[in-house]
Amino acid sequence: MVTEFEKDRVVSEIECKRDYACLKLKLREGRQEVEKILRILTEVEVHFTIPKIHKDTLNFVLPGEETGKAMERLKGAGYNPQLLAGCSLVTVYAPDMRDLFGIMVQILETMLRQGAEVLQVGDAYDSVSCLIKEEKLKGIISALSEVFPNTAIKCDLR
Amino acid sequence: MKIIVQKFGGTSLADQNMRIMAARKVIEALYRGFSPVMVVSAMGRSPQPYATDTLLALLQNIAPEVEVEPREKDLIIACGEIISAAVMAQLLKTMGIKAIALTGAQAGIITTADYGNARILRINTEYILYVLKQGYVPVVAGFQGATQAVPPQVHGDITTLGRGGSDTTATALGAALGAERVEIYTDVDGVMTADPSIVNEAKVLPRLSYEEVSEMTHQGARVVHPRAIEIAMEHKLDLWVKNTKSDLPGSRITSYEELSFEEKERITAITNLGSIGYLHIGVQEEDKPYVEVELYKMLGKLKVNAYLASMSSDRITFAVTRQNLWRVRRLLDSVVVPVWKGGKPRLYLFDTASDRVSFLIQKEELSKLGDSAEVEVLPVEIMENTSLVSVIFSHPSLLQKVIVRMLAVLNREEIPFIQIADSRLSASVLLSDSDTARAVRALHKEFALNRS
Repeated sequence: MVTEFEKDRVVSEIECKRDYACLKLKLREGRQEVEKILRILTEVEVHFTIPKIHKDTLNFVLPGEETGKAMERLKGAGYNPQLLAGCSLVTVYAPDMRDLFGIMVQILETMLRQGAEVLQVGDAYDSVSCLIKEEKLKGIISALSEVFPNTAIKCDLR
Repeated sequence: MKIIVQKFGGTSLADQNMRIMAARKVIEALYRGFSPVMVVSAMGRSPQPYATDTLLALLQNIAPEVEVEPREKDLIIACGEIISAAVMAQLLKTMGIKAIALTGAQAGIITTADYGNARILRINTEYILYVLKQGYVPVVAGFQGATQAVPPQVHGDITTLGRGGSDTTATALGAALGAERVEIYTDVDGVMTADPSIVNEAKVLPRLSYEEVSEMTHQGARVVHPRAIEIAMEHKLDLWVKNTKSDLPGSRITSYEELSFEEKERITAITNLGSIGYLHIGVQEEDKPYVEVELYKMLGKLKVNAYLASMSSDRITFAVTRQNLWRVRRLLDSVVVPVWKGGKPRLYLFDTASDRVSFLIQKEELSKLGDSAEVEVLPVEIMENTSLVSVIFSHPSLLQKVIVRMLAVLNREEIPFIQIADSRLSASVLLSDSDTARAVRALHKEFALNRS
């Protein structure tokens, strides 16, 4: 018996999720405050992801439909969050991203060529996710599919 | 024929006593009605005589300034596993068991020609099945295979599989032979809820999903190599992690569907990944995307992986392993990134404060360009001694609650953190190396993992 084995170590899938948003909040009491903010969101079942701390601000990504309740609760707690709505989350998957050198640059370069600002980025061992403005989505997906040919695209581009 | 593949790592074969214990596991499998296939790593670790690094030193020490060809490097390091296979086959023979040592190539493993990091293309099981049917225990040298022979070659070149190679050999053979199970023998009782050298109360997890183990290994747990898990998952093959020195059942790694109701939504383990360098580079907002792309391009060329990347309008932030940090520092000390969007070009220099001499020389040289270019200095802040501590869980729906609980523990224990990160099955914090053990212990207690 001859069995085919290990997959090619290449990008396997590009996925996009529409209607995402980014919230940015100023931390007034330092990093300990991150817990308090995220707890407020968890209490109203906001599915935040890619939380990042930059100097004295906290950024995170959330589904567009959850921004209303998130904003309301955070404002109620005395915060003044900045909302960036109308975004898409584009995720590039590979079996072992950390063994594929230069994937990040291929993604960023594609975004740059398409004039899309990467608003936030999250990376895991098998994926890199970028938040971009929704109007750039079509161009980005088409450009990424050229950079990573023969890759499955899971994206509703209507 | 009920086939079982049993893999023994270097520490499980380090001395005669250990090798006898390993041979007993094979004999037990025979008594249980299995046809065992033994996969072995090189015996012991450097500086022991047959360990991979010791063998490699034989070539490197001839003239350290002359680079060893990857093909020859593979040829010599593959010898460690071949010696192990021959020794174990002979040991089994002395114990009354028919055994035959096989190299990876003799076991039918055909790989790509990527010396040092070859990928298994296919396995021709004809010979190994023949050997099993004759009642022999094949003892296969792990971590290696061979390329397909290309005429006028009679045999292909010997290749090695890179990190986690013997785990990959065992799992791939298990899948190709339709084995009932693959057992990975090591020096711990199974997959643990935390590193037992940090948490005394760490417990063995009796059952885990492929995804949980994959996440754990990428976040710092030394369990089974992710490549082996990938193959096992693809071929729906159960893996068992067991201790060579004990008869405890160990940990079963299987599909998510096989987990119990409680296991399907649980906190699995706390892991820690040390030796991380975290870098912040301040840069003008308008040129940041260009500098960022150039920087990542250079890191890619150096084969340095950047992770924990983060976007803000005026800073480029990422982490690298401490092993790679000196290369990144040297790169930043020596490069100039030009950005030209019409008008005067802007030339960016990186000030890492580590090599003032080369930085000052570059700055002075560039100043000679006068008004024809703008020279900008980007401050680089490097945090050298950081670790990533992660909480691993079995279902993505737990993410938000886990992050909040994790941060609550750190606040309560007054452990400062630098950054947070998430992935499908983990929530992580980057913190100082000196706080790692305290954080791991506090999180292990918080999530009651000692009661697993």
